[in-house]
Order: sequence, then C-alpha cells, then structure tokens
Amino acid sequence: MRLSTKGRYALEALVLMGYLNIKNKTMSLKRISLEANISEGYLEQLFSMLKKESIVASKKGKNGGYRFVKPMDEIMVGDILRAVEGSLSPVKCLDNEFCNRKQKCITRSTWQVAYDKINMIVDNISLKKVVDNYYARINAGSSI
Amino acid sequence: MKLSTRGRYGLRMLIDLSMQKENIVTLSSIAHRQDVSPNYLEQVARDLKRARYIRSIKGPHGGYVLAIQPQDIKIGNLLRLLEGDIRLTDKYLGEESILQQCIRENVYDVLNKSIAEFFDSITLNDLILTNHKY
Repeated sequence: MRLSTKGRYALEALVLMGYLNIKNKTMSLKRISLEANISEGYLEQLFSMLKKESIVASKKGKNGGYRFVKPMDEIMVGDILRAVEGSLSPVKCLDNEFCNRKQKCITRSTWQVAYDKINMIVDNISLKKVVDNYYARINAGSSI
Repeated sequence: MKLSTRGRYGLRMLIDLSMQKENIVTLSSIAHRQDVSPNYLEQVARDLKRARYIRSIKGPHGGYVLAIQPQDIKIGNLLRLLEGDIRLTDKYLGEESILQQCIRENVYDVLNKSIAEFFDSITLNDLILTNHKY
C-alpha cells in the first residue's frame, strides 16, 4: 500500500511550480527539473499525464512549457495524485467491478471505507494550501 | 497504492476460521472456500501462526484454529504483521528537503494517520458483525 514515485514527484514538481510561478506564466520543465531535482525526461512523462487530466496546459515553441489550467485553490492534491497514479484504492479489488466474490466478500466494505477516507483527505487539500505553506517555510528561513 | 495479496488473504483466512467457530479447519478447505491457492495460503498461515493468531493441530484430523478471540484482533495490527506496515509512503532515505518535508506534513502524514486510526479502530469481530453476506 504505497504511493509510487510518480505521485510523489508530481506533487513536488507542482508545488515547486506553484511557488516559483505565482503569476502562472508558462514555465519550462528544465527550470522545474533543476529546482526540484527530478530528471526532465521523467517530468515530461508526468506532465503529459497531468495535461491529459487538464491540470496543466502546454505551450510549444521557444518559450514553451507548462502553466496551470485552473487557479491553485481549485486544484486538489487528489486530482494530481489520481492523474499520475490512477485510482487511489487501497486494494485492487475495488478497481474491479466484476470481481466474482464481490457479493459475498466480507472485507470489501472495509476497504471501501478506507478508500473513501483516502479520497476525502486528498480532495480537501488544495495545491494552494501546500504552496502557501512551502512559501511560509522558505521565508521563515529555516528548515523548522 | 495497494495492499498486497498477503494482507488481503491473511485477513480472509482469519475471517474464515472465525466463522467455523471452535472447529479445526484444514488449510485446503479454507483455500477452497476463499478461492485462493493452498500453497500461498500456507505461507500466510505460517506468519499468522508465528504471531500466534492461529494454532495448528497435528494429526489425521488436524488443521488450524483461531488462537485469539475475533474481538481481540485489531485489523491494523494484523495488516502491519502481514504487510510490514500500513503506511502510504516510505520514509525518505537521506535528508528530506524543505519541499519534501512540507508535502509530507501536509499530505502524507495526514493520510497515514487517518488510515492507521481507521484500521486500529476495527476488530475482526466488527468486520464479521457488520457483514452478513457469508
């Protein structure tokens, strides 16, 4: 039951992008790559998934890169994680509507409650909240 | 972000055993009812036995019985035994950056705490009582 590096790197990249890019101009992956210390090739994969879910939009060309599609307080951590991880269900059974044990499975409803809790938490944390908190930490000038 | 078959099958094995009350149950009958491989279930049973959740009875009519009352088995502890832990994220190797620390405290710690509290709040008995689908 683990979040993969995809989810973790996507969050790190977007929090950093939000922090560096308050005016939401197009930002190159090279810049994010340098600041977040994540390879540009890996970021390309992540951002194409984020683009597909309309979290970021891309601009081609010399000054190309990515920007957020929505204001950061409307982008939820859950949207970001699901865009790159797929379903956040704690067991694969819940992703399978056609499990033939579904009707008699005693554990399914417990997994479902855990799944609902996970989604509820990440759907209540906005990217803006994390970016603001990062901003406060950086400006406090300490690693707390 | 998934629990492995180990955690899921182990839990189902204990549910199955608790449904059979005090009877001695063979591994193959559990495997059959639960539709899982007997060989794999045997590995899980070994872990459960070592942690004293179940006892094995030797002999021609041997098998397994539950060694702890279902109301005393916390799902959280059981999953920690079988899965290692029930965290959604690993601890960072090496030094954590301010960015990573910020995300951990705002997201991962909240998730891990909530999931641990949930699984620690339910027992095997709760699971059985809230489900009558067997």
